[in-house]
Amino acid sequence: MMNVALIGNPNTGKTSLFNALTGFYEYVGNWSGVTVEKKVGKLKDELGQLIDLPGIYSLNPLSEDEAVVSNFLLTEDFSAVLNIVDASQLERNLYLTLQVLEYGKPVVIALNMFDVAKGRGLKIDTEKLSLYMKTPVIPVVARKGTGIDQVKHYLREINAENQEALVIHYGEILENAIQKLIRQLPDSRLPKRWLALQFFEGNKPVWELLKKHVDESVLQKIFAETEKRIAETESVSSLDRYIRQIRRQWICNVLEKAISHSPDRKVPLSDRIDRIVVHKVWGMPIFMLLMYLVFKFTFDWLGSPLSDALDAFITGPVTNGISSGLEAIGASSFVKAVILDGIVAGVGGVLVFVPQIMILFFFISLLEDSGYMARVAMVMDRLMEIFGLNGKAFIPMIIGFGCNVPGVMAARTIEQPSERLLTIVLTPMMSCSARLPVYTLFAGAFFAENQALVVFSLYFLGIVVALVMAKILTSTLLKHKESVFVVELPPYRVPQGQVLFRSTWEKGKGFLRKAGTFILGGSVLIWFLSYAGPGGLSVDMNESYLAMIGGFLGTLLAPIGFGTWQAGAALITGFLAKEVVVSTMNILYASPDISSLQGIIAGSFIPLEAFSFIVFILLYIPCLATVAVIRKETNSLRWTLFSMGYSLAIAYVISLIIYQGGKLLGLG
Amino acid sequence: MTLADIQPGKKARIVSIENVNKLVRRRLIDLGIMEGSIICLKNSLPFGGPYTLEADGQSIGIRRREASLIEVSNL
Amino acid sequence: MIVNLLLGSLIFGYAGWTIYRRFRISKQGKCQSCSIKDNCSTNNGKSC
Repeated sequence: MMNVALIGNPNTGKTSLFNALTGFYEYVGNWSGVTVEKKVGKLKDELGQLIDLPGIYSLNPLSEDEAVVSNFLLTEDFSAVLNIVDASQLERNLYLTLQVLEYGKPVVIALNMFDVAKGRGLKIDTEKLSLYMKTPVIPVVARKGTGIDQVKHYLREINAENQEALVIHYGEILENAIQKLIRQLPDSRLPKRWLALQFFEGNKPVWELLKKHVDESVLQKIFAETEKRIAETESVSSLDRYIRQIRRQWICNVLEKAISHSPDRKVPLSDRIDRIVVHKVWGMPIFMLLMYLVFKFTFDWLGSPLSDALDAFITGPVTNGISSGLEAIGASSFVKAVILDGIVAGVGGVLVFVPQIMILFFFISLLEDSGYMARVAMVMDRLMEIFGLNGKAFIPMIIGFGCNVPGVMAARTIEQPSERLLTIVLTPMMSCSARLPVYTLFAGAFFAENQALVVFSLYFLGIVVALVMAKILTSTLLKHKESVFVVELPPYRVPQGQVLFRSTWEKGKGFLRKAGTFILGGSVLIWFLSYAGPGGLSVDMNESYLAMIGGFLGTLLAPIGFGTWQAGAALITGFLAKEVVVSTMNILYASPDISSLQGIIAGSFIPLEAFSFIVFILLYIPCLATVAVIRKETNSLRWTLFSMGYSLAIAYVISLIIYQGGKLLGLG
Repeated sequence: MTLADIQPGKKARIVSIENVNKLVRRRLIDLGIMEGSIICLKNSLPFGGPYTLEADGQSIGIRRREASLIEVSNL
Repeated sequence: MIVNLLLGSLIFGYAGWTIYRRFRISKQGKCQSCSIKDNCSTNNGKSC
């Protein structure tokens, strides 16, 4: 069984190639860092497995996501490397290729975006490249599927034996040092020369590994001596710069022979678009306008009518059908109650929002796939800088609008560790799509006229709270070194319909699955807790177990405007998944459908209380899955608890201000 | 002369990136932008916002402060 | 009668299982409502 590792620079179409080769769909985006962890797919034609690794520029890692690749090469067993190379950026792409060739596993090079390179006036002689690299080089256009068969052909030809590693001469001083270090290394399946080179380049995971076998002081001594001697004889101050210089010379020599430029170069389309979207004056307004349009589509123009139609369908034909079906088989009133009042109310209440969530995911996919996301980082940087963050931190936040879990993971692309931590802790303030049903329910009941505005204000509030928290944290707990910002702006590409729809489906299908599994189970549990009480089964709901639990919380929540046991119970279940708040309310208010639920809550809340409630829902706690991913990403229990604690505190304070302030203003 | 002194739309050759923040410098080098590279300042965002640079068909964004630490010479 | 018993136990059994599973999956930091469900953790050094 063959294990092929897919390695390449960010934005080279790695994920497109992965999809073309495996037929297994994966999430593609046009900004650095879409693949934050390695993903595995089955190669077509039973060839084996393909492992997609995060995009990197060099094996020597700078940020967390890049360390994944080094660790992979050090710890995992694989048979070959498929190296994807952006043909229009050969010089810097081959830098990574060279490091991979030095490792000594069989390598197949896929020269992607051959069409773009041609458009830029580059003529590439792949045969010559292949000759110098001593490995197959295949021109491909991954997005269109051109050249894929050839790649498969070469992968099939690979036999598992190790290929001879590429050896470049690094000058006498360094070569002697490499030999000296190699003598100290124990035998293992890892290539010693490669380890030594990566060591001298300053690769941290390699340092950590070598420390286990060689005394640290010995390592430091070899490194310092070599660096000193290089600095004396060459005009470079550091070893990594020296190594880079040698490699670049080698690459330039190869490219001189294999590439010719044709003189006519048009202004690329990307440059023309960038003149507008990152324009001095128009950049920010264009971004705002785009976001506004996304919201309008999601809530007003497209989402709401679809949701209403779905609601009518579920409460009408579906409920009636199930009801008469149960009647026909002679189900008892208990079974009828659990199905109709529990499952249909709970699951149906959430399913109704699927159209809106899908539309939102569609737009997020569109932003990612087109290449605009990196421009958003540019446009937002100045603003984010004020709050001690950088523009890149805004990308995890936008992803977080879809779901906080990938948002938290996307923070890995941020180079500065303290800025990354900050972004992780703040991303849950972004209103994820699971919170959307709650807003829609309440906004529809109380603010039908200004529904989009109210929902927009919540998203905005989430951002404002996150930024203010960033400012507070960077001036207290996380007083960090200067914030840094550097972002690669990939060329724009026209999103492909199929890719876009699959990407949307991939993001949204989990939501449907959740409705059929956990939300269904949760609804049954909630229904049962509201059906049973100390007095036995089928008690009055106000005497149920759930009323007792929720009632206790309710008293704590009275000062912020919603001291009912129903609200208390909904908040507990909402920690498991935010959309369950709606299921819970639907069951607890014994409502047949969303519009009648809206009628019921309109009777038991006043608008001010309702607004305070949805603000609380926005901020009060990251959901269980997000808490777990924060724990994993920060690797710190303290920060995880902090992220939960501060959300709760902030939510309480803000809701208190809204409710009590509103009452003072006479709104209550 | 530094990159921050260049007019938008003009090109220059990088003389030194030694003073740039370590993380940014590493990333610039990764992207093939270093001593000797020819770089074009494409545009800038308002209120001291970041610059868009282009080198060899590759666009990147960096902050003004960092740009003012990159020493360049006229072509 | 048998139908009711069967339906009741089916519903409650399924409900219990989904809730149990949710806790187990969430503890691993995976989220069902997004794309990265099928990823593998590099922390434990295993490939899928």
